[in-house]
Amino acid sequence: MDEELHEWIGKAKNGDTDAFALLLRRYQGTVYRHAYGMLADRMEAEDVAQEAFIKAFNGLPKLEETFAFTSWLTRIVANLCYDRLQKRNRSDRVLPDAAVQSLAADGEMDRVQLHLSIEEAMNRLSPEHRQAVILRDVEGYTYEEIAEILDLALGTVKSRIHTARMLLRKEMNRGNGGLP
Amino acid sequence: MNGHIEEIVSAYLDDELSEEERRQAEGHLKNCPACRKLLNELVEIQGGIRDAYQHVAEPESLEERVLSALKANRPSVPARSAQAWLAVPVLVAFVAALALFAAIGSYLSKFGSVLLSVVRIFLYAAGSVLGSQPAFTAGLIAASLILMIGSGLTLKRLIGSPSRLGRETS
Repeated sequence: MDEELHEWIGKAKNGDTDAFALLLRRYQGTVYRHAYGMLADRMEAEDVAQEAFIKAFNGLPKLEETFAFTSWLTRIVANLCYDRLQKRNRSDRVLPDAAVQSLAADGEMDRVQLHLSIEEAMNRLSPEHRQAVILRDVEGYTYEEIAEILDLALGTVKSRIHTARMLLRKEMNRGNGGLP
Repeated sequence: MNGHIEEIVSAYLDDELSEEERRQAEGHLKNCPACRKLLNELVEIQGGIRDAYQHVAEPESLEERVLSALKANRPSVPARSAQAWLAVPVLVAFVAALALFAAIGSYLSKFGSVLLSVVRIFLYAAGSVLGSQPAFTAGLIAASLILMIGSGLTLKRLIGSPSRLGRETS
């Protein structure tokens, strides 16, 4: 963790909202992408991201290890997404839209189709499997870091990622008649 | 896929195998087209996921929403410090009153005893006058009674009027 980030976290811990605004600017993309990846709905993802940052600001004074800030923030958003998915009715599932819209505007329809297939396949995974794939492939955490964030055994993380990818492969092959 | 390395292909892709496991996996992949195909498919999927979600940008309103919510929830002045500030002028006034009393206390005590003597003399004189004039005293008592009854009636009328007003408005 760089010195600047450490300083911002220290100040934000003492209630400095300007320092927290800098943290917010740095992490809002990651937090929002995680929420969107889990919920596949822009409005809900924004609500959860907002809730996660407010929870983080209020909980910061209790965070003992400032170097653990990133994984701590990820744990907050992961738990919020998980809770929301538990409450959500399965019939309320929405189609992916954010990535598709930005690419459609660029005229990249082949990639739009691929992204649609991937997001649809992702939405068919269980929340546990989706979470593992997002943490690994979207956010780039190692298996050990994921185990710490989700409070799981390393073997469970390894197995979840493997199972999730095999399920995604199955879905993609079924949808496209084989991967491109 | 018995005899293949399906179970560890994901971990191989993520570089999460031990040195020994990695060597075994690479040895197998060289000679097994099925496991190589699986690995290539997983590489495609991983790349597709990264690409799909990296295009997802946070809404511009998010930062403003969070900061506004934080400002709205922040208490303007903590209650404890407000009470502390209130205690300062009260303490100062109390100390000032004590100092003033210490300075002029002896004069106040003399003035009080003189005032008490004057009141005692006045009461004694009034008692003597009333005792020597019984007709005047009886008149005075009757006038007092009339005054008290009159005052009572006026008070009763005054107390009764708001309730009437209340009933009219409702």
